[in-house]
Formats: sequence, structure tokens, C-alpha cells
Amino acid sequence: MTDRPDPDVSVTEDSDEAVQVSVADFFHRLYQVTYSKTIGLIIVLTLAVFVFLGVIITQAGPGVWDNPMAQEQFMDQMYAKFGGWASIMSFLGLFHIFSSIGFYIVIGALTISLLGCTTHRLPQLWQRWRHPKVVVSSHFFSAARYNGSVESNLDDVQTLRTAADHLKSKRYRIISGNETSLYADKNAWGGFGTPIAHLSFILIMAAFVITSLTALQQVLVLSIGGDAREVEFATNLTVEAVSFEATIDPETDRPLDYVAHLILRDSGEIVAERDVRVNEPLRYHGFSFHQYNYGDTVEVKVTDRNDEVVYAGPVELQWLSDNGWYRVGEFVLPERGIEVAVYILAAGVVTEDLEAGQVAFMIFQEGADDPMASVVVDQGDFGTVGDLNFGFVRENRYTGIMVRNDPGEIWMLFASILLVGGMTMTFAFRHRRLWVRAQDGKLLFASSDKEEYGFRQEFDQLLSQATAWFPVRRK
Amino acid sequence: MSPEQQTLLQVAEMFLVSALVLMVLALITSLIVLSASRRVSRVPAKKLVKVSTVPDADAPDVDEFDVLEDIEDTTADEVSAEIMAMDSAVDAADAAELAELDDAIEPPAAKKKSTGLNMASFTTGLIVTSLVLVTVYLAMRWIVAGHGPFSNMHEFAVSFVWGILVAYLVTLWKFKMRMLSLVVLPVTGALLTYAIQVGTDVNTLVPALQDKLLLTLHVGFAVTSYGAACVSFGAAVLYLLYPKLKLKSPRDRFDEVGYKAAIVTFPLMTIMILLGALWANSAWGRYWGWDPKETAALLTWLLYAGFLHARVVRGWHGAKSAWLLILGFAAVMFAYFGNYFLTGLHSIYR
Ligand code: HEM
Repeated sequence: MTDRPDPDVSVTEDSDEAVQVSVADFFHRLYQVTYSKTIGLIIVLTLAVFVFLGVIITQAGPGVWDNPMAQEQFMDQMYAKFGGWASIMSFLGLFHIFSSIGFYIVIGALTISLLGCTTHRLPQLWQRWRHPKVVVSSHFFSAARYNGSVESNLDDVQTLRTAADHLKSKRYRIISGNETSLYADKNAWGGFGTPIAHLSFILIMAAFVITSLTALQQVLVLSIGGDAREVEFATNLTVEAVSFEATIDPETDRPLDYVAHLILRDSGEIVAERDVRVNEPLRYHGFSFHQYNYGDTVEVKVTDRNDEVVYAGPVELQWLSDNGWYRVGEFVLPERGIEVAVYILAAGVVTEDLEAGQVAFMIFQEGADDPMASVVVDQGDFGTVGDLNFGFVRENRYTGIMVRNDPGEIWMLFASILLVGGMTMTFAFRHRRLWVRAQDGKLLFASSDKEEYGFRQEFDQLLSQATAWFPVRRK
Repeated sequence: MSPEQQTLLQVAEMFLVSALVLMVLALITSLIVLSASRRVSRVPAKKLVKVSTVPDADAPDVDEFDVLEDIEDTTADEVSAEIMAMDSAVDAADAAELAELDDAIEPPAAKKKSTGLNMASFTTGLIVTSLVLVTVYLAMRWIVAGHGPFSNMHEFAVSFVWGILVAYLVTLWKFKMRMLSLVVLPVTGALLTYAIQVGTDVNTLVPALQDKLLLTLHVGFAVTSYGAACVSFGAAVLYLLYPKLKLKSPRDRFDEVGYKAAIVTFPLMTIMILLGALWANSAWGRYWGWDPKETAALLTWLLYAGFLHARVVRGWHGAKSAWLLILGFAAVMFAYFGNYFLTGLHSIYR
């Protein structure tokens, strides 16, 4: 080992350092971008532009973009509306803006920017709260945005003490600098409202992500007075609809109320029984049961050659056939690769193919357009196709109950409270600062806070009150 | 509805029409006050009014944090030098402004004699009276219908007017800024005309609207926040038209009132949207469905967020941020009347 460094090594070290510096520099600049207020503003306004487009351009409903058939149908409408532009708009994601790449990028940028602003700012706020600059120069007292003075007949130390007492009684926090100068402020903590609001907005977005990744949801079609059904994602839970009532205002035809009376069982034990209305879901252990929709069903039963039940339950009559003659529902037998459409006559229609009190089952290979078989069945009877028996139990009504389990819910609530709390702190508890000094028989006040009508009045008022603090010998 | 209730509603409607008439009168008297003050302002000023209250928002854009950093990072003398430099720029700006104000500010003596002031108090009286009439109208309907004013567009529009008048009067009380009525009254007048023309039927509530507490709060926050939004819109319009109008208050006061009204608008709007989400969650099992009406409210919210942030960005003061306020209020109106062009769950109101 020699003291003289090996030239090669030292060169390498040097360049290493250079690289390190520029890397640090690079990251520093990157960080500066994240807390740039201009960029933050541009991001917020860009988001506004996306949202604006989402308001004025018809958006495909939920699930439409994942389903090729629905997508095609939707696009047909859009071609009719926008002509050739529709394909360009579709390419740009304008019909599903809120799940488009561009939107996710803006949301990501917003998150980063919010984080950047907050981390950049917290130390400054801390400093301003815990270690504010207490002593300022005498020029400050003549040059600051707010400044003024009153005369005192006491010596400077006593003058300052008097001022401190009065300011304290006005709920100012006092930090004394030296014998003749002090710093006073109000609501120093109010400034933390902004980072709280910023972070809570990130939390709101996070709650949406949690919801979309983990929330479970299913609409249970329950026959009224029919059997209990299992919740798909919580098979220990079963729900039964004892009754359902839709009240319609006879004068206006507007619905007044929907009430379903539900029984909820956990592992066979009744754990809740009550009415569920539109705004009064039933809640149980993180699950909520909402009144979702209602309508008519046919109850069907499908058995195989050995009389084993392959399918049993209500089928929701969701559609009307194109000619308006039939009401149609559908169910799937996934193990058999079969879809079954159920047809029943619409009210008041007479046809030759189907009579009132009968149901037609049309059986499709999954995904096929034409049925491979069909059978017409009377109520209480079965009709056989291949090795399956299709039974029509009865017509009934159903109520759709939406079951939800959403771990994001609690976060959403928490974040909302933080957002409102943070804003209240920022807007209602502005940080107000005063620098005060006693000098040459005068008490000087100054503040460099932002110009504001309210603070200007408060400052002027303080000055006029301060004249009364000292029984001045008027010259 | 019983015959007594029907009579009650008819009486109430007379109140509403009277409120509209008073607003039109108040607008006319406001215009008279404006032209009177312009006439007075042509009299050469003998005395300047309180120089120190003229704000210095034309100062180089030093934001609060820059000042903080200055104070923390530099010695006291440097701070003072900095602030002095800053303030001398302010002084220059102020001098120019004062020269202008010189013409605009009326001498105190002239003020006392001018018919303008009496007329101004009369205008305020008219506006207060129309607020009372609108309040009584809403209260009577509430009693007859058994629910708050949120079942149809008529009720919405009237409560919007209520919110605007309250926000206007609060601003008047705090900032003594009468001339906002020049912008606010045409808006309330148009809304009331629309409300009367759209029909005054009392509707029953569809089930989704039957959570009365949540809805009353949701609509209450909407109305107050939109009312404040209208005031900040008024301030922004006057700020932009200032050079043409020669108003008494310094121009920056309009900037400040626009901001103050916006910081009332923004949190109230936030609460309104959050309550809406909470309600959607209990009614439909989801907070947010990108329903056009929800989305329009979000757009409005983002524009106000943009406005607040524009103020802390260099070079976005004054005219640019005033335009953002105007855009924000356009979005409020769009969200409000969105039912007419947008489809979605909220279209139950149609
Ligand atoms: C939509 C998301 C956002 C919300 C809800 C929000 C909320 C707020 C609120 C309520 C204020 C107080 C405004 C005032 O005092 O006038 C504020 C100020 C501020 N925000 Fe945001 N903000 C958002 C996005 C951002 C972004 C992306 C940035 C990044 C640059 C940012 C940086 C700032 C800064 C620097 C201030 C000024 C603080 C001050 O002067 O005290 N904000 N924000």
C-alpha cells in the first residue's frame, strides 16, 4: 500500500462520484417536478378535461366494454350518432374514459404529485409551527405588508411584557425572542389541513382501488315466498324473501316504496329478519343486502335421468321479445355447456304456439345463435329433451337483493372525514403571524402574511386597541 | 291534497311571484346606484380615502411559502431588504392604481349627500324582502309536501335562488360589496322565472329519495355551496369588467371576494359530493357510478380545486383565475340543469 493513490483507481473513483452527483441531481430534479405547483395545477385541470369529456360523451355502461356482443351493440348506436368519428373516438377510449389508459395515467400523476407536494411541505410546516423565525430586523417593521406602531410610556421591556399579556389574552401563542421582541401567532397547526386534505384524497383513490380489487357483489334473485338462496361468495349465508311489496302512487304512477321482508341465516341459524327498503339495507358482519330490483319470474326445475336435480330456482323475466309477444328469461347449466331461454306469453297476447299457463324452453349450445331443441310445458309438468327433464313449477314474482362485501367502505368513510376535516383546518383556521418589538418608547407591529381584508381589519383593530394598553402621556 | 293545502300553495306562489318582482326592482335600483356613483366619481376627488387599505395583490407573485422560506433561510436584514424590494414594487403598482382610484373614489362629503347611498340601502331592503318571501315559500311547501325541496326541478331552482341570496347578503355584510347584485340578481331572476315557468307541482318522493335526513343535508350543502359559487362568479365578472365599470371598491377586493366565496364553495361542495356518495352507497350499494350528474359535480369540484391552486402558482393571479371561477360556475349550472341533457339515475327528476 502506498500513500499515493493509483491513478487509475482515483480516476474511477472520480467518475463514480461524478455519476453519483448527477444521479442525485437527476432524482432531485425529478422530485422537484413532483412538487411543482404548476405541474400540479396542470394535472388537476387535465383531470377536469377528462371528466368533462366523460360528461358530454355517452359512456358505455358497466361491463359493456368487457362483453363483445354488448360492445358491438353499443358501437352501432355510436356509429349512428357520430358516423365515422365513432371509430376514432373508440380508439381514443372516449366511450369508456374512466377506464381508459389516459385516465389511469392522469390519476397516477395526480397521486405522485400529491405525495410530492405533501412530503416537500411537511418539514416546512413543522418548522413554521415549532421553530418560527422569532426576531426580525427593524426594517421589517417599516416594510412588511402589515405594519404599525403605538406609543408607550413604559420602558421597552415593560412595554413588551404588557403587549405579551394582552396578546395572550387574545389567544395568541407567544414566543419571546429577546427582552424587547417577540413573535405571536394563531392557528399554527391550521396549515397542516392542506397536507391532510391532500393525503386524504390519495386515500379516497386507494379506497376505490381496494373496492374494485376486493369487493364482492352479487344480485340474488329471490322468489317471493320461495326457497332461501345461498350467497355465492359466502356460502354459509342464505337469504329468503318472505314478502315483497311495491307501492305505486295511483295518481301519478310514481313508485312510492319497495319493501322486501328478508330472513338472513348464518350456517342455518336465523341472524336477522327485517324489512329492507331502498335506503335501508340490511347489514351483517361486513355484508350489506340492498333492495335492488323486482319483477316477474318463472320457477323452473331441471332433473336428469335419475331424477337428480340439476337446476332449481326462479328465472327472472328480463326481456320482451322483439315482436312484444313473449317475456323472456334465461339460465345457464355450465357443466352441460347449455343455455336455456324461457318464454312465456306477455299479458293480453294470444298466439298459436303458446297458451297462457305454458312455458317454452329453448335450449342452446353455449354461445350458439340457433336453438338445438325446444319444448313446451304446462304448469306443474315436465318436458324431456335428451336426458334432461325441464319442469315449469309456477309463475311468481321476485325481488333482486344485491349482496355486497366491500372492504374499501371503511377506508372511504375515514378518508372522507379526513378530507373535510383537513379543508376545515385550512380554510377556517388560517395561520396568522405577528412580529412585535418595543423600541424607543414605541411598540411596533408587523406581519408579512398574505393581504386579506379580514386580517387587515383584525390588524387595524389590534393597533387601535393597543393604544389603550398604555396610559400614554400625550405630547 | 286537501283544499286547504291547495289554497296554502296558491298563497305561497303569490309570495314567489312577488319575490321575483322585487328582484327585478332591485336590479333596476342597482343600475341606478351604479350610474349615480359613476356620475359622482366624475367630481374631482378632494381627499383620498385610507391609502393603507388598498391591497397589494399586484405585488410580484411571492407566495406565502416563499416568504416563509425567506424568513427561515435568510438573516433578518435580508428579509427586510427582500420585503422592502417587494413593497416598493407594490408601491409603484399602488401609485398607478391610486391614480385610477382617485377618480373612482368619491369624496366622503359627496357620499353623504348622494342619492346613491339611500338607493343602495333601498336595494338591499328589496333583496332582503325577496329572501324572506322565498324562505316563507319554501317553508310552506315543505309543510304541505312533508319533505324538503328536493323532489323536482322547480323546488331545486327555488332553493338555489335561496342559497344565492343568502350568500349574497352574507358577502354584503362582511365585505360591503353591493355591486355584486349587478351579476347575482340576473341569475336569481332567471332561475326564479324558470322555476315558475316549469310548474309548481308538489311531487311524491320516489323510494331512492326517501332518506330524508341524508337528502336534506345533501341538497342543503348543494344549495349553499352553489350560492357561494354564484357570488364568486359575480366577483369574477366584476373583476374582469372592472376597467369598464369604474366601481368604488378597489379591483383587488373583487379578486379577494371571489377567492373568499370559493373557499366557502369548495368545502361545502366536497361535503355535498361525499354525502351524495354515501347516499348512493346506501340506496344502490355503490358510491360512485360515473352517472352523468355525479360526473358533472366532480367536474365542478375539480374546476374549483383548479382555481384554488391557480392562486398559488406564479402568473395565474387576477384575470386567469377569474376565468376559472366563471368556468366553475358554468359547470355548476351545467351540473344543475344537467338533467335536461344527461341521462342517468338522476334523470328521475325529469
Ligand atoms: C384533487 C386533488 C387536490 C385537492 C383536493 C387539494 C386540496 C387543496 C386545498 C383544500 C388547498 C388549500 C387551498 C387554499 O388554501 O387556498 C390546497 C393547497 C395547495 N395544494 Fe392542493 N389539492 C389537490 C391537488 C394538489 C396537487 C396535485 C398539488 C401538487 C402540486 C397540490 C399542491 C398544493 C399547494 C402547493 C397548495 C398551497 C398551500 C398553501 O398555500 O398553503 N395540490 N390543496
